[in-house]
Amino acid sequence: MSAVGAAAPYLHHPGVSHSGQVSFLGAQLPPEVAAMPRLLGDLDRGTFRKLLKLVVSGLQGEDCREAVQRLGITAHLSEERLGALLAGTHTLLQQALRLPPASLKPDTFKDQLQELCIPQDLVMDLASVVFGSQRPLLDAVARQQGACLPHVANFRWRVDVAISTSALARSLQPSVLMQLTLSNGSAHHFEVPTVKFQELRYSVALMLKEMADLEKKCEHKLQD
Amino acid sequence: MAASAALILRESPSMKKAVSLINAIDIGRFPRLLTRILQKLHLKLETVGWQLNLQMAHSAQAKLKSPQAVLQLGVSNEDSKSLEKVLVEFNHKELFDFYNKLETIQAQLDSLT
Repeated sequence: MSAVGAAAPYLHHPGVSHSGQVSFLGAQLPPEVAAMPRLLGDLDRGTFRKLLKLVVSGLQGEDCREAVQRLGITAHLSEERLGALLAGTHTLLQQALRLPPASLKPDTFKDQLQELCIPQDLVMDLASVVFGSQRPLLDAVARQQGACLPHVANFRWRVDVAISTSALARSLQPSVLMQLTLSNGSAHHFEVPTVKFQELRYSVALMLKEMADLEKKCEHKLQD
Repeated sequence: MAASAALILRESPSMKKAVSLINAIDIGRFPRLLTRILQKLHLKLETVGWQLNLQMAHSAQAKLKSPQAVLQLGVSNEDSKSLEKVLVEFNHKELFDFYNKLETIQAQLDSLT
């Protein structure tokens, strides 16, 4: 296979490995990844590791523009080659990180990269990012990138008892005052009459039970 | 001559306009204005709705199978003219934490009787 060189990805159906499995990169190989073997060429491992570190920082949302410029200078890489390498490595990692480790296993990942003719030691470096100790942090960052409704950022409450008001003579009814601050910055301040509070508490308890049931069902059915 | 105190209210253009409008109001009508403003601020929880979803994927992650709960709180002022629907999402742990807080509130309510 090594004698075929950079032409290998184009000789069989792109994205389908010899085992017939669709690559984690999808049915259509992204062009920036297809270009990788040619770009990597004689790149030394030290330089690749520095590049990899920058891509990981980028995935975590850090601004790496200055560091990238410095790398280009010290490693004598043209802006074009550096840009292409960053794009290819970024897409490769992003697509691998999309899938949970149970779905894309380390061996499958390494095999599919080798089929793309990426050098063995670089494959190991890439695998250590996807399946290493940084994975939980990268997953946490990814979770925040999906579209979702606001979550509770802060929940403050108070129990009040209205003794009397200027409008109506009320019986000593307690009521709950809630202040919900959401992750989108909005704040909601409202009174919850006792009856409504019971309804809220019951609803949340029911949701918890349904959620636990759903999680049990997920373990048994929906297997990949 | 006021001592230097931190400004609680920001001196924005709308704030300045509001002050000039309030100053122009007939002093006799001011209590009624206050009541109306307080009525608008006093919001009540009217409806509770919910939805349980199984999130399969999003733009950055696939094959998730992650349960998500959505709580819809219908909040309105005493006029009941407009119901604002506040949507809040929870994962399992967040929902559990929220429930524990509701239980603490219940304990407080129980201690009053």
